[in-house]
Amino acid sequence: MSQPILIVKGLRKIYRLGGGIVRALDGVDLEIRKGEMVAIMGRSGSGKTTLLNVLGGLDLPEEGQVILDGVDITRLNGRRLTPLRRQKVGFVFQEFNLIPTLTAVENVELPLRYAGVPRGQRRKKALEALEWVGMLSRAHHRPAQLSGGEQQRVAIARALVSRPALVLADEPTGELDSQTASQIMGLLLSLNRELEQTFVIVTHDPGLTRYCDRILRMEDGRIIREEIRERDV
Amino acid sequence: MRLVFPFDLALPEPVRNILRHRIRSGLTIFGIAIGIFALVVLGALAEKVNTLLQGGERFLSDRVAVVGKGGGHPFFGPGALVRASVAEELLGLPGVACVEKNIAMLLEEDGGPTFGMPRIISGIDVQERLLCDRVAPSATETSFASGDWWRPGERGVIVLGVDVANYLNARTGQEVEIDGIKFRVVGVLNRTLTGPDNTAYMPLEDARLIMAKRRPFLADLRLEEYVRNIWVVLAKGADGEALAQEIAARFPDVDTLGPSALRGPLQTSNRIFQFTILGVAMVALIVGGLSVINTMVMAVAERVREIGIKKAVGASNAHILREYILEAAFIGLMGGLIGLGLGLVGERVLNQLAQEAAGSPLFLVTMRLALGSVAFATGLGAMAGILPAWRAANLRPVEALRTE
Repeated sequence: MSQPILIVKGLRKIYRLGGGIVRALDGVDLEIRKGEMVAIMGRSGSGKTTLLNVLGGLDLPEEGQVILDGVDITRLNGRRLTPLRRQKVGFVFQEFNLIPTLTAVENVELPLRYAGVPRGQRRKKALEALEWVGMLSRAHHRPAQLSGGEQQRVAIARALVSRPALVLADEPTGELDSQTASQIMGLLLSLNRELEQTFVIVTHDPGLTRYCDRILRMEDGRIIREEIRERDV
Repeated sequence: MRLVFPFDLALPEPVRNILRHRIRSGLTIFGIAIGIFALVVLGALAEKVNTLLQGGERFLSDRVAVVGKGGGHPFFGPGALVRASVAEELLGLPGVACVEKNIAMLLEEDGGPTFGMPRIISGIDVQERLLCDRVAPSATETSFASGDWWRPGERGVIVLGVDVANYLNARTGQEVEIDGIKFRVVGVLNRTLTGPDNTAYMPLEDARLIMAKRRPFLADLRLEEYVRNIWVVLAKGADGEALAQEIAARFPDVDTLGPSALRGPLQTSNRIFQFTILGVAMVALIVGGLSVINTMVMAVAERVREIGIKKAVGASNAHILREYILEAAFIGLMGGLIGLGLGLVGERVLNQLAQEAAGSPLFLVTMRLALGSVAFATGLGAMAGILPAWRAANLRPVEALRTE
């Protein structure tokens, strides 16, 4: 078994809404190993997205530890978290979240641009990432000229381009029809196998869990069940 | 699906962002352009005067004026005649490169008020002028577009500065009439952007004749023994102030003005124009600045989610700050360039009109004014962009990503 790439201990996160308190994360413990493809399932409001944000360093917990690739990110301030996100985490969002004024390849280049990679080098890497997701021929199109499935492929290329330790995907197929959704999941699976890329995928579509090694079920900010499966694809 | 022009993709990201809302950005750019246009045109007016004054300062920096008692500043004072024979005695003094006797007066006494320098007659001794041209060429700075100085002893001849030539509509070889006396134009000078452009040079004796016609009460005087003033051009390294004092001590019936006393009045009048420019710059600053702030606040509000995405993929606060300030600076740059373009057209048109109405151009867009206006507009955009960019940079990624 490979080394854990992510160790989460006693994670707590509360939101104050109106007069009340919402326990978005209420003591989450978790370990993810390199090359795993893990699904997090649960109803809306169960804390899935909050967990994903905390794992990716977009949000900080009140309590607990997140050790990503050997670094305890909960001890880092905003300034230190930024380069860490750049190097170690890739995000795939439900709404694709591409920058509309940039072409596909420019969108994919973004993380490298912010990392200060020289232009020629980042273009080469971005084109390579577009090739992984089968979008090389659409490299110079803008998001508005691409279908939903194509946009999500570009977004996946962007998440992978800096070869992060972990890719976090929040409902990556939520905006897609079922056929495109399975194509995207198939793509994630092949990237997982070929590149040994670790994925944590939040979904509420039970049909997609068949692509994953492990399924974590969340309720009220806690992981209430863990299922380990043989992949059936 | 929106049509994408291929050229669009060659543009840097801040420009593409500006093009997202063409009308809004266009109006903001236009607002800045108007401010810069006003700045360029009024600045050009000030630069014209400034160049004139600088020329005057250069002219006065290496000389001492010798005037009759109580004559005051040779340009601005009441004037008093000084004995011409003083000039010969001055030539022998140490620190004197050459001397020039001079009789200067307005070309037209009833010419009315003028903007900048009035057109003048300057009666000179051409032999003295040729000597000064040789021993202290920086003191005169004149060169000929056509013709040359008259020969010593010639009378009824005139050399015209370019604006006087235009005003009198005269060329070399033609005749002009001043106060009923006919003069043959023997030369026209190249443009200097300063005093000589508005000067008509003639032999000292002819100038004396005009002075006598204009001031009949001088007939009692042996006028041929007097001039309006004597310019003493300093030898290299000579101390003008000390020389002025020495001359005053030696000749009790004259007043002297050293370089600093000569330059003083020019420096005061320059200030008025600097304040005019400052005033226009302030208006441009406020109007342009507010519209850039407004545009950028809206741009940030519309792109909160994009900012969240960029932060999620690794943009630091500094990256976001830079992107938005750059965009605002681009808006300023565009406004500056368009304003400068309009200003240059304005300069041409207004100079044409001024030339027709007054005989000389009034506006001068200098390199420093052109570059300064564009830099001002760009800096203005960048400054106005700081606040909205700061807000953008400090958005929390999680919240920004949640925005619809």
